[in-house]
Amino acid sequence: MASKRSDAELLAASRDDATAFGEFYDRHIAKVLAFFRRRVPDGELAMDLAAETFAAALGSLSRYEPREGPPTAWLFAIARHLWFDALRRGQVEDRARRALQMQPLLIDDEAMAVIERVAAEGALELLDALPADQRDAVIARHLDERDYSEIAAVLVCSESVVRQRVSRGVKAMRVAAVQEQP
Amino acid sequence: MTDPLRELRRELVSAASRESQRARGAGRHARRAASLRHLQRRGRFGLALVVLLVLASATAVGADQLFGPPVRARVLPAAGRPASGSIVFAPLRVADPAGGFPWGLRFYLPRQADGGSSATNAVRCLQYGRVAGNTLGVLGEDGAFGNDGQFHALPVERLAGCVTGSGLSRAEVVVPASAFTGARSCTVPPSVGFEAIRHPRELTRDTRTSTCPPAALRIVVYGVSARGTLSVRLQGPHVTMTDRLVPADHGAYIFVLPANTDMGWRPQLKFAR
Repeated sequence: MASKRSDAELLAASRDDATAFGEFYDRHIAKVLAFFRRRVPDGELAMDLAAETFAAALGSLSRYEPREGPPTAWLFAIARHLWFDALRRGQVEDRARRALQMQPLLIDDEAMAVIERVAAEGALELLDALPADQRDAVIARHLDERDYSEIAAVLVCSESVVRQRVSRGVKAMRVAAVQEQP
Repeated sequence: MTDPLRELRRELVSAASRESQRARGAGRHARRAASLRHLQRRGRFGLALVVLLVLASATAVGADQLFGPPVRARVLPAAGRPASGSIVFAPLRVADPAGGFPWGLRFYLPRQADGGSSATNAVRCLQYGRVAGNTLGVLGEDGAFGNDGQFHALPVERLAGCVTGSGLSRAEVVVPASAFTGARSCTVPPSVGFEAIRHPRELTRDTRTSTCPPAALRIVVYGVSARGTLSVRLQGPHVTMTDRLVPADHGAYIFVLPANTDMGWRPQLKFAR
């Protein structure tokens, strides 16, 4: 059962209590996976990068300084660094996982399905952050794939208003995804 | 159901636990060092004790460096699960062309749907690898396990392959010298080997592995001969090798050749009873 400890408390406890890091992982894996899934062409690479991110975070726990920012900012700073590094090198590093003697993950079709589902759940969190009118419009247009005219009829507004809500909602999600401040 | 997120969580929590123990161990080590300094000041007896403790510590570190974590077990298809009490670790050992841990194999009878074992000699599942003591395993080299150079025990759930036949079987594979074909191990180039069936790579996300250099490749010929076989001889134009079997081998045999051998031939096996 998840505790009510803050992220900072979990990281501090992780130095002596391995399960605390597991709880920190549970809270943020979907968002980290979604972060990478939007940036790389397939789920395997996204999982590879997410695994390296958490391993790097675990390996540098002693360097985390709460005064420098919230744990999520620190975690996503590691994620961004690894992503840029992967772009520069053309491959994903596994240095942190090797240093921790972690075993490679075996990814089969079932595993891929899980990765894609969790990454999508992470992306849906961005949708939840939108104002209700924009969220409804984006869901109707991009998830339900309805026509603008049909959406306008359901939402009792003009087509141009629906287009505007969809456009603003997508733009807001794009900005949130780039900033990645969960 | 394969869930890589749970797998990753398990790996992370295990790693966090190891890190935590290491940190505590470092603290103990510092305290022990302080204590040893105290003993040193107390004279010769103290000095002798320091030497003993240092030797014991070095032995422990050496063992840690030699043996890494075991290879992860995999879920076997139902037909491949071992029948109760059927696992046989053949005492036969054969040298690797480059030395180091010898090769060996074990086999078992797969469990039937009713929980019993298959008919004798109808189907046997074999697993080969490098051997340390009485443990079958693989080596952390050729890209596997981050090239840590350690020995990793191979669980029986990590099956090599099952063979069929009444009393006689033969399989040939080209594999890295590490005996590991899973994640991150180097890739066997398609041009190597005599009409051998290459061991299929296990399905992993890692597509960035390098091609194995010829010196890191081995041809493994293995199988189970008929009951009562005393020796198995492998013959080719440039090589003759003989496995002398004992009853405890249950007919199991294995030959390991360097893959840079001239491959314009296929070895003949002769069984003596």
